[in-house]
Amino acid sequence: MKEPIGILVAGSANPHIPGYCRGFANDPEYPWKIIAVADHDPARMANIREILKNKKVEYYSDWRKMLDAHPEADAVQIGSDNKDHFEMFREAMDRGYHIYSTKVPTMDPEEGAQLLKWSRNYSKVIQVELELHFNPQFRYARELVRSGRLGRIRSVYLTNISQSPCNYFPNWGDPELSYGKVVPIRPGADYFRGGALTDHPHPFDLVRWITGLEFREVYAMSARNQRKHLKVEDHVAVTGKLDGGVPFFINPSYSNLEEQVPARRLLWPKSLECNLKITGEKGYYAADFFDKPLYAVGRHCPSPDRLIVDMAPRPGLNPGNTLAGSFAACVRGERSAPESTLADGLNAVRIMNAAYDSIYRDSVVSL
Amino acid sequence: MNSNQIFPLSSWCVFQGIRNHMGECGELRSLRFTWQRPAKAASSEENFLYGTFVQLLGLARELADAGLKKLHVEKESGRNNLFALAAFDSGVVAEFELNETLPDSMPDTFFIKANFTHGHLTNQPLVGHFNEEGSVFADESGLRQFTVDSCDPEIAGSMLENVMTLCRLKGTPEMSGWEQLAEAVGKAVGQ
Repeated sequence: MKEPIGILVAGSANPHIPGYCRGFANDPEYPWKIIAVADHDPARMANIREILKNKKVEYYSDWRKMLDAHPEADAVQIGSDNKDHFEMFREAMDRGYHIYSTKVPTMDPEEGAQLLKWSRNYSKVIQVELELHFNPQFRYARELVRSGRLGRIRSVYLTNISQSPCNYFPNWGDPELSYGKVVPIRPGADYFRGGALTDHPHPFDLVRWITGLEFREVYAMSARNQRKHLKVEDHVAVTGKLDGGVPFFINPSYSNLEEQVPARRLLWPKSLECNLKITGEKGYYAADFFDKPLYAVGRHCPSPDRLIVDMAPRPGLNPGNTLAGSFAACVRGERSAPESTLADGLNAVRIMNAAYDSIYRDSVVSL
Repeated sequence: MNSNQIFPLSSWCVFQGIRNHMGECGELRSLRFTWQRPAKAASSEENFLYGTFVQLLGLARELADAGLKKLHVEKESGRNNLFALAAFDSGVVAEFELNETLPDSMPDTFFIKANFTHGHLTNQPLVGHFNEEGSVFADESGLRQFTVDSCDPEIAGSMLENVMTLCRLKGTPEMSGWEQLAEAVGKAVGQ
């Protein structure tokens, strides 16, 4: 087993952070050793402390103090609200840490350009969390495309339809914390950017990663929110053209309703629909994130009276086949480039902002 | 399509079922129509656009209970393959995926998914595109439904193929007490 890299977790506002902490807490072969966690929010910190209760971890309410106190760490995981990412990037780079950013690096184009500029002369690893590269179905899709078995791509369809995390993570439903500023979804609208679209950069990345095609035109619509109380959008559908005029469709919405319970339950009736369909000149490939479903109705299930669709466990053969593992391999110098780079993350943001602009202007946006 | 032409898709039981349950799920917010057919079943481009697509738009308009406000279509040039977004005056958005260019080994797939403020109505399976194993690869030689179990490319096949490959790579788990079970089978079949 390889030595895990030392990680400082700057912020746990991102709903994925508890998952990384559970990995460290429960998996003896986890590629990261979490040295310290910082968060100013007592409730979130209490949750992380509970997850990591059997591990020796230090806790800070001020992330800058944590960075200063642990020069022995290899890397910083940026896990705060999106609004704070830019500052965290800057301070982590000032101190020379490797950086792992959750989801969007920033939704602000000027901040993104600045980060990209700084990163060009930065010798350390920067990986941006863009999900599903290590999901076998999508990796297989990439192989089919890149090997030519599907032939020339004629259309691409991808949905990433989830429940809304905003009930359980209220900060996720705050337009300023999520998008960085308050921008109505369209003129005069009573809900704002920063919802389902901001939450889902990976569909835009996946289309580029699988097909090798770039986005050229974007047109998007947003329906009235299913959840009337929500201040950010819960529905967006995006279509347009990739290189060569190839039509695409992406839906990154929160269209699957969740149970009204205080703790997050990604269970009922199916938390996530992630369908990929690629039509090529020589063939057609379709895949669902839920490759091997398990249906459960049980007295002691968290949702006892409803059918729960869960995934059967997937075999993990190579520890490097995870976002955490590939980042650790990069930091150790065993891998030359991150699985998903800062440029990849900012590219997804550019397309997402084009979709927001399209909704606002009700017109096609060229990229 | 003029007003004298028939409108058969309004007889589609899925559409009728959704319409019948409309009051049970709160207010409608968005719709998704999936219409997939193999190329051998494709209609003419005219019928595809002005027959099928217009009819599906009509179903959406009826469910949205409002006039069409905006329609945007992305169509593959010269083929019956399009994505479309339609906005209705009620704020409902309908998404359309119509593809009649699939390999001839593919079956038809027709779904409607309706998302409401307090529920969903759909004939779309909870899991999988149209099969519970999740992955489908089709070309003119045939249709394969399979699982992709791991990022390692050699594990992509049927459930049993994947299990056998896993055992080869990671070792076969031991099964204790198998002799008892084998004896029970022997007795049960009279051997």
